[in-house]
Amino acid sequence: MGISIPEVLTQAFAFILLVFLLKKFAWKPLLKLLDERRQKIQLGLAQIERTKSEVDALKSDYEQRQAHIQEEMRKKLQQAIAEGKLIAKEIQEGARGEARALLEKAKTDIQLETEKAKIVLKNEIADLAVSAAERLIQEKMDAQKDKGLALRFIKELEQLK
Amino acid sequence: MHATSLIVGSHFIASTGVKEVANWITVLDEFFHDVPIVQFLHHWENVVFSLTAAFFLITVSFLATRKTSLIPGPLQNAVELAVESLDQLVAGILGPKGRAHTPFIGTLFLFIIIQNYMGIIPGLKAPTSNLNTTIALATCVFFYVQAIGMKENGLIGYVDHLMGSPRDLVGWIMVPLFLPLHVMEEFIRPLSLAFRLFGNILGEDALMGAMVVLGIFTLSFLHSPIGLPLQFPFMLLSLLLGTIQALVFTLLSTIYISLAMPHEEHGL
Repeated sequence: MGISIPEVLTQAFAFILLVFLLKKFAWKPLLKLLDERRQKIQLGLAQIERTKSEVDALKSDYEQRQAHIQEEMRKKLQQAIAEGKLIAKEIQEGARGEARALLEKAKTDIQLETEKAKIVLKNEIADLAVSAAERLIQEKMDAQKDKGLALRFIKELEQLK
Repeated sequence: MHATSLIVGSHFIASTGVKEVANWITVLDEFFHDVPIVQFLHHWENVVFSLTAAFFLITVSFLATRKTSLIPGPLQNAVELAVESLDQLVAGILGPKGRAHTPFIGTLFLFIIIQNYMGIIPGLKAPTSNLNTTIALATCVFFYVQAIGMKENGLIGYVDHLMGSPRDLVGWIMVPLFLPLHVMEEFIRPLSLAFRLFGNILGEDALMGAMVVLGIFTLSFLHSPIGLPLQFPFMLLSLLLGTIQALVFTLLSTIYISLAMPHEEHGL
């Protein structure tokens, strides 16, 4: 088969040199780089997990707060409605009282005005009667007779009303 | 040393009557046989092609690691894929401590696979089709394995391992039998590696050479300047077998390293 020792040694030396060169300039830097990348990816994934759990916690907290706020809002709304109803009732009652007072006052006023009108009317009628009587003087009648005539005239007017 | 004794593969092929596919050195030798530099190249043909493979690996490694970044480019990505795959292969057999051996085993695999593939490229030759190349590689593995065995077990542990780890009277009685057997085994392992790789790659090259000759003969009646590419299917086969042979050599070397390590530490 003719094995050549110098060729075997040369090939072996070339291979050892190749291993040395590649180990120093390729294998070590590349394996280191792969480790660094693996570590970075692991750290990145851990960071993502941490952030995710933080986001979940924040979300849960936010949801709790939102539920709490909604509950508060509902309570305050109900309280406002109740207060509103109370105020409305008070306003209604106040309005009714005022209306009643106004009505009463209006009635009193009407009565007073009616009385006043009656007196004014009586006086005007009396004046009219007097003026009527003055006209009758021209017919030469005595005062007593005139007065009685006038009052009778008024009574007749009241009966007519 | 006489030139004819150095050209093992081609001599072997020639002696069996099968022509090997020509490469650029044999072509030069054909035309400029008397030129000293051509004679020198022809003399060291396999070394020249081995160095070509080594130069190719060094160039690719240099280009891939010139500007390494955490976000790799296409070349860095491809080289990283190879490095990581080999690292996982070695770590899978040797365990986490085995990573220290990844550069040796990985370089061995890449060097062999590229040398195997060189037989397919026209103008080149697979240096692994030469026994000197495979013996050189197997010798490196042999010394590496022995060095690991001594380093990991200590000199006494290493000798104890060679004696079959005798712990009782029967064990010590068997030492004269086990010691030569283990020593022989240590030498036979790299030899089997060398012959397996050499035989397979030589067989592929010889087959391709025969197919090239057959292809030329097939169209010779037409006086065609080129022959039928009958070697093409065998080139595809060579791609597959070249990978398998490189993997076998590497895996067995890894297993030998694993067997040389203390038993509680290796992954097998």
